[in-house]
Amino acid sequence: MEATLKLILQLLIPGLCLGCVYGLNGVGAALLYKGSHTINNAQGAVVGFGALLGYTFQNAFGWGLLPSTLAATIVCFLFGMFLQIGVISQVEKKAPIYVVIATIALNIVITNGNYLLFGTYTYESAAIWINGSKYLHIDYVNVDILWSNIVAIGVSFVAMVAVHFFLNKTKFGSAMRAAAMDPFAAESCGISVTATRAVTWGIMSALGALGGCLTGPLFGISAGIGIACGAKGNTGAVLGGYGNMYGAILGGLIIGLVETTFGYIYSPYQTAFTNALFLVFILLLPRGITNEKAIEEG
Amino acid sequence: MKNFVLQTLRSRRRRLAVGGGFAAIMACFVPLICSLLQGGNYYLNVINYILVYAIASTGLNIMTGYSGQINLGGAAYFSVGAYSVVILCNAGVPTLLSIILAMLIVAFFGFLTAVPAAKLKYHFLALATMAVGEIVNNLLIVSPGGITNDTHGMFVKSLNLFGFKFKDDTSLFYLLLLMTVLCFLFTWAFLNSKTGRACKATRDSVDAAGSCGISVRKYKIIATVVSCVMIGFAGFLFAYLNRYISPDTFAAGKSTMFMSMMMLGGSGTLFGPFLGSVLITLIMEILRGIPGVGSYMQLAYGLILLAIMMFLPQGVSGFISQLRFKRIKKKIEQQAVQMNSTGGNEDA
Repeated sequence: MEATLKLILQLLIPGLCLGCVYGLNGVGAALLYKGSHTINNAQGAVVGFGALLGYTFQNAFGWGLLPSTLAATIVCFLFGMFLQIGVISQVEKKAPIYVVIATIALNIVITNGNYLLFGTYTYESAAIWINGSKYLHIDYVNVDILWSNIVAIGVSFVAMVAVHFFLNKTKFGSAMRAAAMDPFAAESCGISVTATRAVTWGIMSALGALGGCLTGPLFGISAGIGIACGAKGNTGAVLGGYGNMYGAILGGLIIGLVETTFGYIYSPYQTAFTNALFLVFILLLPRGITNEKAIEEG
Repeated sequence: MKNFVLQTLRSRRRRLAVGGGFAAIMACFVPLICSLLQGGNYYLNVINYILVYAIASTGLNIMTGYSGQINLGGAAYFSVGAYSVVILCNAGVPTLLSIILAMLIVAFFGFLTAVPAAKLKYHFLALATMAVGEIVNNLLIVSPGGITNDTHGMFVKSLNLFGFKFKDDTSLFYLLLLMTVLCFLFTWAFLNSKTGRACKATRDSVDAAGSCGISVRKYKIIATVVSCVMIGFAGFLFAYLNRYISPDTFAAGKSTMFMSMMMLGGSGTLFGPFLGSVLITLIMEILRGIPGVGSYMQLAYGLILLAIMMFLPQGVSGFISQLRFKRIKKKIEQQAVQMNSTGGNEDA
């Protein structure tokens, strides 16, 4: 009994942690799809950029964990806005295929830019120490859990709640939701759709960077760290019903848990299994958990 | 005689046929020219790769350019085509039979993905095809029973067709040239058939096509299967050209490459993908050659792709036809001005 509980905890906590990071990316994907009916394939590269920035701030500049993570998040917020204004808004008017391929191109450019700026190494980010220990010891089942995991889960939840309040309680959040519902009507009411879209990209990139910084102490940081994160964010968003923010969080958590569990059972087919799960959902349950009608045609 | 030539050249279709035939005949002398140049074998090798990529991106064009379904998993079909021919050949199946069997496998595989995917919206089709690509690549890396030799890859013996061995680049070049021409002819015939027209109609408007009695789902599936088979065929040729296949050679980057070739040349045009594959391969090879730039090749490639999306959305052939359109418009306007100045006063 104790052994089973221990195993479950040991799988559950990293799974939840991973799921939270995927959920953060999923929220971004959902917001973007609601806002401008496009998908972003460059998210993974931005995650890597954010994580590397955070690492650099922490080690080269000697800032603490909190200020460096915050700084990386803010820089990525601005970076996302720049991407939307500089690149995506140019392509957006033409046809959906251009946005899809432009974001793939951005992914290539940013990933290789990361390699160029930060090198190809995998950096070891210091684990988070609380009360003089890396681990939280639970006496009851005699298990050690990394504080980094718990902090990642906590911070992700705080970020998600913050996004929720931003969208629902602030004026600009309402404007963003209005622009997502009907850009023309919103524009005629004096809302700048350009600004709301730019902020959507900003939030998406900032959430991605936050997720990247949080996973740093767990997996190590390299330019390729985000490639899985971006794709899994989309997967989570599909699972939860594309375009629904809360569904995306739930979907991300499910993907994280399933991935860690399956990785424990049989790891060589981990990628294939997650992608197959994604295909099953997109084809058989296209409305996802929250019954959102975004995917089907006709 | 002169009259006959002029008459033949008058219609656009005939002009294309004559031009294409002339180009194909001229292309037969390419190995000769290459053999005269220093390091000519390298040039011939690059040209061979261009031809293979041209077939693959033409296949992709049928699905994306003419049927309006995005496919970001092209590498999956490419690799299935390559691996199944090589595995079957290694198992002792006659070459021709193994090619046919492999194409059937690719067709079945394409059908499997096409049936459910035909109902997905644009972006989600992109995600789904990407997922297919990832799954296939994962299965190549960790194959059931180790039939693909996993990450070690497989060395490929030279192609043996009807007792003739395609050992060197020159003989492969003629084979590839023949195949490219055949693929072009097939694409052209397919697009001008009833099926091809129906595919184009579903691209332009799903609702309008459906209301005309076209079964949208059926034609989407047909276009997907045809395109997958052509990509798979290119994969088989690639295996015998490259002489070594591994999961790395079929990573997601290949799918993006086919897509970018098609987009650069101009999607939805017959010669666009060919043009695109020439341009992209040449650009990559030239960048590789410049000292110091080699390590930035991927970055440059991404930037080029981004620039195409931003400034050349219709591709090179779209740009050319736009120029031509502008010229014709100018001509018509001039004629209208002339008409106005000479005989246009009657109304006023």
